[in-house]
Amino acid sequence: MKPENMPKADFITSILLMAFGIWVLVHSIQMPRFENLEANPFSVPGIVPGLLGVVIFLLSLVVFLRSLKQKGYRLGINAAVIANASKDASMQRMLVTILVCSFYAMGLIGRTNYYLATFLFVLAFLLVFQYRQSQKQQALGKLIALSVLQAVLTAGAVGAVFRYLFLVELP
Amino acid sequence: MLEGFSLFVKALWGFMTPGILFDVLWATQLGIIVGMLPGLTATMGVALMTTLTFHMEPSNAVLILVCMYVGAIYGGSRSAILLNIPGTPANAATAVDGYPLARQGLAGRAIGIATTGSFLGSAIGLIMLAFFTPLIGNFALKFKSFEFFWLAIFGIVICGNLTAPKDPLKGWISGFLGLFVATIGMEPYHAYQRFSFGYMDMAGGIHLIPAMVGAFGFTEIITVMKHTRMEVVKGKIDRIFPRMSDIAKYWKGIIRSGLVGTFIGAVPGVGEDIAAWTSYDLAKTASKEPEKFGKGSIEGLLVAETGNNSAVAGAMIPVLSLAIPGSAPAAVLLAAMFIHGVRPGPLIMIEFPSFVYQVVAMVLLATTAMFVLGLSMVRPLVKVLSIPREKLMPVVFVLCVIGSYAIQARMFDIGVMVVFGIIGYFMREMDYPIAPMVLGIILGTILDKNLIRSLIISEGHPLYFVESPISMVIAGVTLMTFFSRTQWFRALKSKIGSFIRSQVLRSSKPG
Repeated sequence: MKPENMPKADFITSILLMAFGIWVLVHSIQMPRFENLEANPFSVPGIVPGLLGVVIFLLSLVVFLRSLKQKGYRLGINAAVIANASKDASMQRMLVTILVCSFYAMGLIGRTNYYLATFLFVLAFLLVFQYRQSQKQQALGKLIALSVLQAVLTAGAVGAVFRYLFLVELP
Repeated sequence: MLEGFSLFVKALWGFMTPGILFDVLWATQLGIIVGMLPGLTATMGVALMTTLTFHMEPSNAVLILVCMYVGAIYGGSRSAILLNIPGTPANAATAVDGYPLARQGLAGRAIGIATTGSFLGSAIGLIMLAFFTPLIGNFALKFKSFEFFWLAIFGIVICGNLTAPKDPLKGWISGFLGLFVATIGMEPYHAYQRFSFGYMDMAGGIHLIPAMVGAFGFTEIITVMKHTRMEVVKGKIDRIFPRMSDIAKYWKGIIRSGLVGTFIGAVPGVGEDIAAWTSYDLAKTASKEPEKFGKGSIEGLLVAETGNNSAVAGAMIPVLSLAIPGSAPAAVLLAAMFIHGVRPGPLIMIEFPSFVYQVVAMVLLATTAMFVLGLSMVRPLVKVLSIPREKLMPVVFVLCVIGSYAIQARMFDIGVMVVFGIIGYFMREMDYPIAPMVLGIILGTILDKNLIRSLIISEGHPLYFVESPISMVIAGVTLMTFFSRTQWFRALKSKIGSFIRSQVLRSSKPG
């Protein structure tokens, strides 16, 4: 992130963190105190997370006040900024990476056969990131063939090593 | 001392079988490859290897992990020199002088210097490991709940301070978030499920390995894929074997970096990267040729690598003696030891006295293998660096997924890995260091148990928390570290400084 944008980022994250600290504190206070079991009042479940919630809130408050001083509240978010950000190549690569990986880990794994899920993920990842519009038909064929080969090898090798060598039940 | 030496010799002799030596070689070589590939860190390598060694004998499994750790921290120097991209964060300082040397056509010499520096750093670190672990372990037997409570807070404060030197506040927030994460799940006194919201998986808590694989592994994948591709320095690799004159000339710097690196490695959660930077800065200040630093200084490269590899052994000192990791890879090593039934901590010299010396022998074997492999397998390994990240990263993510799942066979852990990876990425983007959060997850259990125990014993009286001299010292250092970074403290310090200067000037005036 560019240094000039850091106060803005700090402004938003500190608000989220302060809210999180308060949420932790409120939840901790609401936890049972086992008075009916004559539990020691210092052993109640909410005491440690409650204190941590207070500390997180206070530290985030300092970040918040500092961001106010640096005029971080001037977010300057408008349609043009959002449009520029969405066109940014590195931003697109980051989002695609998160999406493809998350879909494999939380969408495919456990619902599809492990070997098939891994094959599809590796193939999709390779094709998405290696495909270029300008690529010639011949090069594209080679790219697909090599990607399929790598996907088959990765799925087969990783699955077999964990299943048969390390005796892990595949998800 | 003699008993320790005999235990060390016995442990080393026990490892001298062809099978174990083969394990040492392949694990160290794999560590070097993991370290040299940007996107694969030492932490990730050790975490993934933990799952692979799950069914092995404990001593063999820990040996392989130590080899992976030592190899990876060294291996990162290769990409730092040839790509100007540190393979692991520990090698960032290596790139400052290593890459300019490679650009000058001295890549082979730079690799040789980095290998020798890493070897000497590890050697200094392992001597310190053998000497200090039993001492600290015996001293830690005096620790009670109050001391452990302060130690947990100290770990977070110092780690936050050093991993976010520009803005320690963010380091502390990261650490306290990690402490909070550790409170999720069933608490130890009343078996109450905190923050589980009725989910059985959450009641079991957030486990370290998936959180760590996500925070270091998936985060790294997102970061690497976001950035543009890198270029390997082309050209012939020159003489690799280091010149004795290069080493002899900078012997003072080597010893200083070895000692500083080991000390910083031993500070909870701080890690090899800070050790390398501190060694580098100190060497630059003390150097007769400071102008060469950053432009291809042999001294700069040597001390950076000595510093980061000595921190590897340093990071194991608190792992073994206090069950508190000195760095992120050491945290995984600690978790792996628990998985394999070894319980590091103050009782280790009573329960497993030979294990400490076994670890020293493991570091020695790994260091020797690293030195031999580092000097002999340079040219073929350079080719590994040309693997495009698009081809490498999906394989790494597949390993992250199966690695998170393998230890407990819980789908929930894969979700934890993904969530921590995404959180870790945004934390990194906003300058919140990840290491304190991971340390917080580890120290959270220690803090939770010991804070409640201390509160029960003291009935809530704060003075009890600083009653013993050890508590007083740890609390004092923690609070000093915390307050020394506040603005009003710095203002007070400058006022006191100017007052003293004015008094000195007044008294030095004649008459």
